[in-house]
Amino acid sequence: MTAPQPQPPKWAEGFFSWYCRNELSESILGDLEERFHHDLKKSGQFRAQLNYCLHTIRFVNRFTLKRNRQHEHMKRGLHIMLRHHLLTTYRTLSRNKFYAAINMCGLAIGLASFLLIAIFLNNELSFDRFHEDSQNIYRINTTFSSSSGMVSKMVNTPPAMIPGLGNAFPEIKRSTQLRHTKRAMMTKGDRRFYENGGFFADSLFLEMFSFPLLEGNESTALDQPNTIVLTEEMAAKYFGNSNPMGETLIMNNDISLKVTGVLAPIPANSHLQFDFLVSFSTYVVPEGYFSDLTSWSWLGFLSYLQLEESADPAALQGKLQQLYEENTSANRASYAFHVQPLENIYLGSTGLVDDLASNVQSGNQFTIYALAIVAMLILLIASFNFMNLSIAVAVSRGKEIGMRKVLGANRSGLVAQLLTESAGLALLSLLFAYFLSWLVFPYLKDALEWQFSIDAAQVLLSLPFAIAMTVFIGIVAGFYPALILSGHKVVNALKHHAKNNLRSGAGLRKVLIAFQFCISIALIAATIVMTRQVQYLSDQELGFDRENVVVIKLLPQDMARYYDAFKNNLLQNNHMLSVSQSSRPIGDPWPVNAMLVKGRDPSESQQILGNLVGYDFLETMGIKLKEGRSFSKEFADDPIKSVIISEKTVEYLGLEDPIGKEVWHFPLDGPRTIIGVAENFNFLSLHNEISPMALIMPFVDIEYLFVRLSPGNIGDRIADLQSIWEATAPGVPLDFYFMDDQLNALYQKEANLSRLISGFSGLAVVLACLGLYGLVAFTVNQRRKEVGIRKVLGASVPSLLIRFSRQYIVLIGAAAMVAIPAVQYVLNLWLESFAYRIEISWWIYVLATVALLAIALITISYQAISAALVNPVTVLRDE
Amino acid sequence: MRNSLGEFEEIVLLLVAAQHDNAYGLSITEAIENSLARQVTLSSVHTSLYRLEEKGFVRSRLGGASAIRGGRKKRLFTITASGKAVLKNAMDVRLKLWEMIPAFVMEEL
Repeated sequence: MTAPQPQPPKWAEGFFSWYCRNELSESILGDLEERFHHDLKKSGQFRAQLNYCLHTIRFVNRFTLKRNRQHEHMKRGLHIMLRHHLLTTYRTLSRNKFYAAINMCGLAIGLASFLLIAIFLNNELSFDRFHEDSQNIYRINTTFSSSSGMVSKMVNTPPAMIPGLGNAFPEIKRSTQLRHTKRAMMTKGDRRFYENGGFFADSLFLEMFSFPLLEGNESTALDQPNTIVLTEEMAAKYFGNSNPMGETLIMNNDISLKVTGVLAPIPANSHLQFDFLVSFSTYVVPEGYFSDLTSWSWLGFLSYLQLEESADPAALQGKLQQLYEENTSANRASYAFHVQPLENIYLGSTGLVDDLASNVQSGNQFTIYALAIVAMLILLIASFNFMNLSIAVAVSRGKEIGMRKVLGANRSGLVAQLLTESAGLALLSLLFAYFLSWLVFPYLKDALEWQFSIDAAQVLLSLPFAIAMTVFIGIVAGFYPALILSGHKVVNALKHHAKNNLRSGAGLRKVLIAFQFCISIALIAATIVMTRQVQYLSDQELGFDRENVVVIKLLPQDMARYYDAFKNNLLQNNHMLSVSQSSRPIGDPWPVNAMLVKGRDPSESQQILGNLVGYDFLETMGIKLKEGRSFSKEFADDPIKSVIISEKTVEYLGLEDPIGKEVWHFPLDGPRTIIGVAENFNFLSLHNEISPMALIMPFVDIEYLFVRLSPGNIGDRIADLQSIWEATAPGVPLDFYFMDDQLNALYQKEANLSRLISGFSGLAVVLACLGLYGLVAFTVNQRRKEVGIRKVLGASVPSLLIRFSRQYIVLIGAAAMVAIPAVQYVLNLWLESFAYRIEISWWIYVLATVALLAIALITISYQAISAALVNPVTVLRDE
Repeated sequence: MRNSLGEFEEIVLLLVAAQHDNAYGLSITEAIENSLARQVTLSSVHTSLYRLEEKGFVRSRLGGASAIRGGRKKRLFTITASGKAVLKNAMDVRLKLWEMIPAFVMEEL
């Protein structure tokens, strides 16, 4: 039996019949098969089959391809129009490559800035919205007004509040309170670290908020005393890869905590930030506090309520007030309670004080408005550029439009064509803009310490909006030129009235340019003012010397045990100038206490910020004494009987000759004698004014150790400090930072905002100039002949330059007139949020205007000079 | 370009005329390969033929099925009157140009 004759591959034949027209396919397949048998004899089966396949592919061309019906259909109606429009768009763009490029880049940069700002704003506005029931969760805030009229708004509540709610409020679904742990040391075997802090919380907290547990049960994890849930990241730090559940951590060398849950990572857009939660029942009021958990006056807790859908928060506020009044005697300093919606907390907490200094993020509404405005302005500038250049380029197309009209185009068709062109270009810019944003985002994120990243879903969701917006810009920008051009009389358009063409739209163009200048001046001025304000804040005399001070955090018991020895050992070293201690670090708010001059009526007590400090505090901090003396070991009763107050406090209490006067500082404490008056100092951010302050000697809870180093090689000093610490307290970790770093962090937000705004202002100016450049280039080009004739008639280069720049100088002047009052108003609004602020002086506006003028003139001259230098012959000879 | 003739098209058209009434894609391809010692692909010859047909220099009909072709018919091409005219014209142009060459130039050939 002979082997069957090899056949051409069936699939290749199938493929060929699929694409080839029926009337050709038979004869070609026949040829192919003949050739196949020929090849088979000559070069074998493999070669023959390969050739056959290659042939079927090579035959794809316009003669063989099937014409399908859809293809036929596309050639008619709308599609042919669109295709034609796109083709014309392409041709117009490639004819005017330079303007198209400027136009596209400008809009792309504008759109990219807009997108980036939108991403940032979107994140700022998304805070706390990830909680399932975020709309029904509220925080209780307390307004505290003393009899002397001092009002402070706090985010804290007394500890008796939440338990006191009981079952009396049917509209409350869940209630929970938190107490910040402050910096805490956690120990597991030989792994021992300081943690930034967490909260004491109960299981209701985990049920109310959507902080899911990866392991453990939300509703029971924090029920028992001595339990802790921690984030995955923190668990890995102590337990490595092994399962942390059921393991034990020791907090502050004192309390053992059993791990009962592992938290999923806390989203960056949560106002509450924590690494762990310890069950609330573990919390014990530290010894020496003049209060306990049944107190209705101790503002030291954060309380959250989850309400029923139908509840009325305003009515609840009244009931909370009532509850408070029922439980307290009438003549106490009064508290007023407010409920603040969770979604409003991040941005709406300006001016609210957190006595706990807990890890709560807060944003600034001003930032949001400022950035939104900047984004809009940039987009506006970019759109105006786009519109301006479109008009400019369009008027040179009078002839083309005239021709189209002669050939029978109607007006609506022409408008549609011009709009397609402009929308198409805008969409191209959008594509470019997405690419730009993607390119720039990582740098921006780094520079501004943004905590979030772009996810693809977000980008996709924004796409329809971005496209709609871009098409809108394209259509609006294209509308005006489309309308004028399509409205021209055919004869005029064809008669080449270049001058007329040039004039059309000139008025609008001037308005647009003036508007751009206006925005640019405003942004330049804003940049200068903001930069100066931030600079002013960091240069501000704080009343103490912030340089070369190391702050060390210790546990109270370690402090008690090692402080004296450490201080002695440190002072042996010549570079350790002074050592002291404090209950609060610099920058954190100090506790507010009432102070009453002995012998006065209790209603005259004043709110004073009080801090507990050790010996040599004033020396270590570099605070100057105005009169009296500092705490001293020579006076044995300084720790219990003495107080040092600031100048401001003297003023506040209305004291004359304060030294030796006695004051009550705590209701339960005895009277203290004023031994010294210190010059004013400001430990808080300069958003606030210098407050009255008092210093007393410690009795509990001292956690911070300050060491003043001599200036010089900081690295060596730190190494010395560490080795002295290790010699004094082996095995206890040393956690330190520099005071000025901490202080700078207070203004980080302002610094970032000012950087962001200056960056975008720079961009806005660049955009405006880009538009100006394109426009001037175009105008100059249109007026080459005029320039030629003027030169022939004896005009000099400078006079031509002036002729070209004159109108722009006038425009900038006009723009300045509008911009200055507007920006003055907005900047004053911003500056009002600072207790210490600069004056906006007139030179800032002059500088802004002159700067813009200079940039604009450079832009113009570059084009104008090149036109003015051309030999008139070259531009005039073709007529 | 409508009525002009490319170099390759001229060859194909000449072969269509030469193989009178028996010319089809493969036969022309083989003729080019064998007598002109030039590599061509089947598809380029076909494309040329269709283009010539489009220009009206050749005409085609189906016929001449055989077993080796899997029983498929050939597309047979014949030259049209205008095809002949364009070939004649091409030749005339060549001849005229040849005559312009001075005799001594080609002597060494």
